[in-house]
Amino acid sequence: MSDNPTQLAFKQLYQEHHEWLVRWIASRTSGGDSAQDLAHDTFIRLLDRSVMPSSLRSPRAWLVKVAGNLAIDRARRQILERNYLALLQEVPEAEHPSPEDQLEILGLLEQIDQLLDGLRPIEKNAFLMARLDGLSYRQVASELDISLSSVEKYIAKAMLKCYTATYGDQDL
Amino acid sequence: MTSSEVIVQQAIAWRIRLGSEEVSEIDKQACQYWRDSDPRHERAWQRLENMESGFRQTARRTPGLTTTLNQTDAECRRMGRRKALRMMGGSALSLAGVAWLAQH
Repeated sequence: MSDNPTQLAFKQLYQEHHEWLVRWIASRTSGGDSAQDLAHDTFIRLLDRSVMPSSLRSPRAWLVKVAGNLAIDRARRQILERNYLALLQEVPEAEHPSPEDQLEILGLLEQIDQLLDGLRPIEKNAFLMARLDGLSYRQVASELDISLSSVEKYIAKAMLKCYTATYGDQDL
Repeated sequence: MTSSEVIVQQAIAWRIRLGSEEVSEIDKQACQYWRDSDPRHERAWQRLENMESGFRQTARRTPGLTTTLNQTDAECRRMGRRKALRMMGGSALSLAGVAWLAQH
């Protein structure tokens, strides 16, 4: 069975640029497995696209951009994990969730973080404070030093963002 | 805007109205009437409800959830690709490792 044009283009890109990408990443990280991992994930991301970057003038610039974005996502998850663990330190160990539960909670936090991605901090805050922390809209307005109508506007924007991220444009 | 999009916006507006301290009985009845008047209205409402109850459950298990997310945001705000790449290959024990160790 012969490859379709997309698969051929992918293979060619891989052959021409994979090793280069691994070296590029390794020179900017502590090296080792993480460079291979990230290069691998970058090429996987390529498969999602209907347009092969070989049609761009500089496939390497494109690969570097994708790898960079993936690295930023990973770093963010690492920071989130660190902050969650720091939060746990403030709770007596006897009250800690089990390691499995901690892992599950971290996954949920990552999901929420992703759903809210793209909102401005103040918009996220208004939403989290009102809908999760249970503050009244007045309290949120006072805490964030904004108007009541801004609070409602930001909550609406956050809810729409989360809805769209969760349900896409699925019809009702 | 598609009709689904319009309905979602309406559902959001209703949820916000009902979350207000100044919500009246009339508001609540009007909302229920809106929900009952079209199955799509109810579906939009339920989707939002499911979404938010998921968030609330996580919040119950994570006191300080807002702080954790905010702090993460603040630290990541100026992070470019250079710093992100340098962070890779860190030696911190991940929770996955802890979970694995706990089982073996």
